[in-house]
Amino acid sequence: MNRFSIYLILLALAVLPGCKRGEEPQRNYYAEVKAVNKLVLAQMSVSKMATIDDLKIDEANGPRQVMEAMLNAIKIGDRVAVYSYDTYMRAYIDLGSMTPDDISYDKASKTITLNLPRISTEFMGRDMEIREEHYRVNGLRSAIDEKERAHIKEVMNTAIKMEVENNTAFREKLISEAETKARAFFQSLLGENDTHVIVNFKN
Amino acid sequence: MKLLTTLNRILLLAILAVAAGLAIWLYKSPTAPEIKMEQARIADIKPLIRLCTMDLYEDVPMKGDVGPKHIVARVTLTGSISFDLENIEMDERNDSIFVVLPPEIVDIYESTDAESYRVIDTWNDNFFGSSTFTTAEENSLKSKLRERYRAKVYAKGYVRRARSEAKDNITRLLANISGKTVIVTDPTPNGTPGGI
Repeated sequence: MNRFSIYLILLALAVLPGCKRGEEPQRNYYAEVKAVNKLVLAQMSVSKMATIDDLKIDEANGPRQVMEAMLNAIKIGDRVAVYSYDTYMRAYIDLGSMTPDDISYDKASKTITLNLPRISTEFMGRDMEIREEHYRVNGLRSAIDEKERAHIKEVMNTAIKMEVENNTAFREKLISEAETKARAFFQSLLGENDTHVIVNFKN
Repeated sequence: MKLLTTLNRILLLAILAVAAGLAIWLYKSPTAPEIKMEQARIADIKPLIRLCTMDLYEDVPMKGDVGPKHIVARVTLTGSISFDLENIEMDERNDSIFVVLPPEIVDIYESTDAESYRVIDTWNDNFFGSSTFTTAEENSLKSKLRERYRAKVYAKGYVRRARSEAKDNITRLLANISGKTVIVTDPTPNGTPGGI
């Protein structure tokens, strides 16, 4: 082996360890405690289910998937698992934005009119735990580990947020429940002695 | 002889072109979906009346072990401290309303922000042992983390602050809508750890 080849190998050894597929995101630990004044009127849990399963040849679409399906077919054993978890949303009004002008009382008709702030919705969070609905890994197949489960949860999370964003029915249902609840609550709170209560929501 | 060499070169080029075309075709074709997902569905809608006075958001490390297996992860938690106003103890005497502040409800969840749960490392003390955690083991560690965080919420005085805010907010809300004097009393200013 000549000297040039040795230099080349040494150079490669020095440079190759620097080749990484992608930098791990470095995030600092962050904490926020925020005082709020929200009147929560309804809460919704949205359930999502996902399956890990080998692609079958008849399900394959395109040459790459066919190759992957063929490789799966020769693997010894099965690897199937089903996971699910719930994500929580809430509907609320921001009481901090209410002013004294939002409440009026008409003595003659014994009517209280409340102009409540617009109902907002937001994600509260999701289950910390994941439900394992089904798990069948046998033969020479590798177990489904915590990193794969974290990945599944991430993919499901993105999908849920997109579905809620694209399908207005989720928010509409939640807001409708919240409006009904708010009307009933303020009616029971203020509607004594035949007082009539009108609850409006600002746009 | 020269013609043969030229033919060989053309043949080689043709093979290379076909191979490149095949590689591009394979590369461009869709990959197999790893995860098949069902449509999200509404599991439950619960109407309620809760006054939320504190929102929490925190990245916390999760370090735990099951036997010789260890895990280090980062979890982003979200939470809230709220009060059930539906069953609030309220008494009206003359021109005053007397209210007893109910026990706090501390909700803790995993955030829906991207990468809210990231496993950093797992290992086994036994050289040949598996470092894979089962779902039940991982869930149990997460439950413990939630309880530790709940204890921290009390220890750091977040609940005390939330209760104090609730007192002010309920006073303001009821005084505004009723026009009466509102007196809110708090029997447990530090909250009830392990209560609800």
